[in-house]
Amino acid sequence: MLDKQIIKKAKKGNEKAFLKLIDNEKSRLYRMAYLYVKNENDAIDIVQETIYKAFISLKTLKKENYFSTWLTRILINNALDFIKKNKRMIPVNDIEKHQNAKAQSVEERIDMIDAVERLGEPYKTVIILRYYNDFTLKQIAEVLKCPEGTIKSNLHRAVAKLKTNLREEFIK
Amino acid sequence: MNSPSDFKTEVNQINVPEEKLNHAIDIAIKKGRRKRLHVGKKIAYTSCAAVLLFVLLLSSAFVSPAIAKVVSKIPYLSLIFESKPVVVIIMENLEEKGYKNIGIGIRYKPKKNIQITVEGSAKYYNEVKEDISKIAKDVLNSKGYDAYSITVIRGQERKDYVLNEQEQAEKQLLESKITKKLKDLNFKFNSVQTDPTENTTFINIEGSKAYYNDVKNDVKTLAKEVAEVNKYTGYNIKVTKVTVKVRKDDKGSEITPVIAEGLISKKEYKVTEVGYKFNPLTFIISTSVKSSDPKAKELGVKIEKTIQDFLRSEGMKAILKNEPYKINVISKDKRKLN
Repeated sequence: MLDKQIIKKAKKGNEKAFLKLIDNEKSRLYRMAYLYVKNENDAIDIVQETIYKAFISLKTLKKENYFSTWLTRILINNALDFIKKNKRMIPVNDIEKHQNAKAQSVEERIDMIDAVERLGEPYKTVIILRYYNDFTLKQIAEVLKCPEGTIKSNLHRAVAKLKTNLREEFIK
Repeated sequence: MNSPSDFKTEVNQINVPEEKLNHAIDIAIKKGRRKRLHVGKKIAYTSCAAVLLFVLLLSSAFVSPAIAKVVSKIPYLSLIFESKPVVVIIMENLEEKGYKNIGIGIRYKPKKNIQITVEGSAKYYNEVKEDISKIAKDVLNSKGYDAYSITVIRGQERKDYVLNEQEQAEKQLLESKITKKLKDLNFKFNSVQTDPTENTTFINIEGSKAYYNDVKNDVKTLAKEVAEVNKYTGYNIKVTKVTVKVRKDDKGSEITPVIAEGLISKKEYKVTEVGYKFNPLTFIISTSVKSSDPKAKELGVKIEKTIQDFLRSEGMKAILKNEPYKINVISKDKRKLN
């Protein structure tokens, strides 16, 4: 596989190879980060940090097949770290936005992203990994370092919750 | 749920700011490159140092008989006599590395310890303490001093009281006016100091005691008048006569610090204190061994010899000028060991 060779090259310290790999992944990484933080600048910061960490620790990656899941794990950890650090800070405009959102939610179109957003951890992450990244259960288990069974039940619950949330919005 | 694919399409609609993202990636790579280089450099330096050491070892073996002879001719304590005190060297090294506001102290009791005080924020202190301790250790190692522990503590910044502008002006005005007045009248004095916070001016008279008694009241009245003319009433004028006598360094005070640094700084000598007294010139070396220790005598002789070698060297002959001296090495239980 071509990819595998590029990864091997990158592991040996070839920067061009690494950049090529990142080029394939960057949009996916950015969108994932955006799903977590909901704003452009923070998302870019998270991607930057992720790539920096990946670049300096690529040589510790054991199996080339896992590059994508490995990178995803770094990103998710960074994003969750970021959220944890900024938990107590809610900018004033955000509060207003939330209030407005509630008031208008009946007329508003049903936004799947919003619904996923409201799921909370760990359901949000499983949904993103399963339905945006198209990861298999096994891959998700690999990223989150959990047993597959846990992922399966979390995914079930996440989908159920999502359904109720969306239905509620309809009713409103 | 509408459909999982809905989610994907929606997410894929999130706009990616390509340019910004690429820029961020560039920065990440650059940062990473620096970090990688850093590790590489460290390895390179370490191996360089290893090679250098090896080369030195080899070359010194070739050259060494000559060098060793020269070095061995210079008594250990004479080397210390030639160089500056160790705390001064540490201080200089720290200043060279750009550390400012550093205090340094040395203590022999209860433990031999060198304490370095750093001023600044707690963050700064935490950043530099390791490095400072390392620099000090390097100096000690280079001299072969193994008896000290090093502590780096954070000192509180002391702020002297700063006079405000008005007080500053007051001080300057009074000092210059009084100085001028006294000079005009040919009084002998060497300083005029005003402390506006205490409303006091200090004037120090020069010359004999009789002269001081003669003029002090005149000076006081004059200075008070000057103050009042300038609308500073209620000023205290203190006229003093302080002279500083500098005692000439004697032989003992020149030699003892050298012996002290040399012997106290190395564990092998087990020396705790070094002192001296006159008539006849006697150097007293206190050690931490007990006279019952089988090696006590040996240590006493070794210490005496180290000092003898030093005092008989050319440099010391000039200072001692054939004055007779004694060396007493004392054990912990106050017995003479040599």
